[in-house]
Amino acid sequence: MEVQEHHAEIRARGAEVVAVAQGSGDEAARYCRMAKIGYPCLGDPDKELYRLFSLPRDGWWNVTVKPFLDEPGVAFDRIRRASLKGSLMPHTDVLQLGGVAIVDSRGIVRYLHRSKRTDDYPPTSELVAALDLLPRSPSGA
Amino acid sequence: MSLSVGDPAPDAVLFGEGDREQRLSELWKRGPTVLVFLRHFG
Repeated sequence: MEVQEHHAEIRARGAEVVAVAQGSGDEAARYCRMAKIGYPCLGDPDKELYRLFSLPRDGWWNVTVKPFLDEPGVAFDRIRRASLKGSLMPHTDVLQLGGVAIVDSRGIVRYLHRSKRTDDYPPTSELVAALDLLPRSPSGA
Repeated sequence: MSLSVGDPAPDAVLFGEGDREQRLSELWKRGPTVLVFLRHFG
């Protein structure tokens, strides 16, 4: 996920990046440490926010089999890095896809990307472009 | 009906380490917030 390497560029625009993970606060923190996510991580134990943002779930074939058929080297590497011990927590829904949303300082959704595949996340350039379009308030946010 | 760009974001409560509650509006009031929804297991 490119935003992990480039979140400083997002922060330079006055925005904060927050990861939302399945599970409790402690489970989310543990998962984010394992995944080496360098920004705050919050847990969504009932996947309420995933549901409110209508983030889709994928099918078993697409999540478990297709990646190994399409790019077996990449798929094996992702499994190795994901670490079963860290990923398969009680609340983990492995079919749940991710996404990215940008909310402005008035609480309005200004950008929304719902992942269509397990590796479908927008490039940082797209997020930066969306942030650059936000209206500037007198406070600069 | 699913959420769209231009809609108010849901002001849900998420949880930090130690199950510290974090209301989303407290985040975006400080400035624009980029929410990255993770998918687990790779």
